[in-house]
Amino acid sequence: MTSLLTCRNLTKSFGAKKALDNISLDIGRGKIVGLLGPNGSGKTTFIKLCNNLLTPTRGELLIGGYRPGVETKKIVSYLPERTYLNDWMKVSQIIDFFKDFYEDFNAEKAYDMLKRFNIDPKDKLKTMSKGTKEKVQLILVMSREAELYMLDEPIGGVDPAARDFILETIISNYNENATIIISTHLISDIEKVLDEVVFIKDGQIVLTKTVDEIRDESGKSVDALFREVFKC
Amino acid sequence: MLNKLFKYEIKATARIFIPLYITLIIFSIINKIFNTFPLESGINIKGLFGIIRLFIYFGLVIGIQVITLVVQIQRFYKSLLGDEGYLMFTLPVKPWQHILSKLFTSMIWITLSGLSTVLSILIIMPNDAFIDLTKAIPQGMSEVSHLFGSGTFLIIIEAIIFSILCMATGTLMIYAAIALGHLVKKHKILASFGMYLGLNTGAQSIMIIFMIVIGSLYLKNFSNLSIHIQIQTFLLSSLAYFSIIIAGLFILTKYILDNKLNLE
Amino acid sequence: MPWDLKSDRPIYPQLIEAIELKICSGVYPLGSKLKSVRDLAQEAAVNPNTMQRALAKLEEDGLIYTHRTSGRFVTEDANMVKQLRNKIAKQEINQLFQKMKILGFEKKEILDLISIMLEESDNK
Repeated sequence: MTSLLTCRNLTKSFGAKKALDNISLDIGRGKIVGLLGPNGSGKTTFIKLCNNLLTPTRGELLIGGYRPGVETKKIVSYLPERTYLNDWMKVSQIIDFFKDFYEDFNAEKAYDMLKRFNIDPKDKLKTMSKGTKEKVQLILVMSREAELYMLDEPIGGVDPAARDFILETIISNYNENATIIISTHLISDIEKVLDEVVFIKDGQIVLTKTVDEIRDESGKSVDALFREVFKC
Repeated sequence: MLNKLFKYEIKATARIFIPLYITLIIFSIINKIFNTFPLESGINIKGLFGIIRLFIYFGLVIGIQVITLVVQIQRFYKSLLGDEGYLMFTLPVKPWQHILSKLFTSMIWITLSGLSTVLSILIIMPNDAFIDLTKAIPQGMSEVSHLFGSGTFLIIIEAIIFSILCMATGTLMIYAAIALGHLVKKHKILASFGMYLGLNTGAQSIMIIFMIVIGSLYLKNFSNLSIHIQIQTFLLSSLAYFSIIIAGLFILTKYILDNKLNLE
Repeated sequence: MPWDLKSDRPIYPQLIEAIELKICSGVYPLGSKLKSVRDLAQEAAVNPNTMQRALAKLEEDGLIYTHRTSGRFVTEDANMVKQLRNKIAKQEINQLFQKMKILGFEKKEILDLISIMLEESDNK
């Protein structure tokens, strides 16, 4: 089967600055991939390009054979780093919203996860803490039966218990046709869950290997290798 | 998809407007019951209450207009180009559909805000003034149909379209200004204000060009023509003008959202 | 028995060892049915693909077999498990010997020390 995400010579410039410099990448289906790099390395730019929130300066980017646009948005489920929910809706209303716009949204799964996180669907988003809102966002994103999930710092501002639950959710959502790309700094928590990692620095891909290849070849965890590669 | 966006847009904004309209109408009714605004001389309690009621009434009416404007701006600036933009632009929807759904919703609220104000005035106005009005309207209408004869219906349709296009132009100009402001790195709000003034100036310049062109077609005989034809000319050229401005603003906004989006 | 995975060694061989240990110790009894790949992966907090590969290897080695529609089962071959148990024990003992050699222990010293410790653990 052809790869799910392909990019060739992808470049994105903001004025004189190249946020992404001529990157080429192939990511197959059924993988959990870590996109790892320091702040400003180009991770978020890449993710935004995949979601059609930015347009490439040069090069090609295809998801499921399509350029980012309406067709890819139907199969890509994106969790941004920030809170993007409005504040006037109740949780049940935002679920209806997702159900309305996304054919692949599984409302039952969403309600199930809400229950396990102890979130009342009748609560208003306005009254929730930032952490709870982030959980709601994660639930909404993972309740879609998408082909590509892009999670930008999914375990960032969350307490360790919730972090474990989020990782469990990511594993349990795994299916052989879908791919999950996780962009994060918190590598040690997550590396056992990853198939492959992509190290990105200054807009360029520095390394693409599987977790076991790294541990085997370097005798270190991915986290340790990361600190070495990205030493300030 | 457009329907869904439209539905969502109405839901998001109705919760602001409907209570306002209801408050205005109820307040008007209450005032009518307490005999409208007695502007009696003398600093007595009744007069004081009257003045307070007057202030509240005007506050509501003006407030509704202000809020109508503010909501238009908010729905584009905050909900589309702010954090909520991450939600909106990842929906499987084309950007022009966002523009249209918000445009139609704005136009509905502008219309309803106007109508509710008119309704409140009708409620409040003294009974004899109201009776005069009910006489004046049919009288005015018959004068109009005398003037335009068989062309009355057409003129009325054109006038309605004129109002609709006028509303659309105003709203789209706001959207285009916000979209242009979005292109700037710092001080986006300030930039948007500037862009709005610029667009406004540009639109007026085009209007002047239009008037010159239309005027030159008629050479010097414009005032010799019948009122009917003068008004007809005015309406049709206005419709053409607005259509051009609307198309330009829409294409500009669409281009920016399609190609120059950069949410932060 | 928790999955104790070290971060500086590849995950795949650690999963194999962990499952072998669970089989030998009876946590996964002979002939018992194993949980699904996804459930095991969740339990161990690892990538399902890696768990799948580990199970595939164990199947290749004969410790696990797949029964068409019912899923994966531990072998019923008690002998095989016994041999594996011995193999694992020998590996641990070899590691012990190496360490003690570094410490400069003689063979007799090693045997004596082990006897004493075994007695003590009996008395506890």
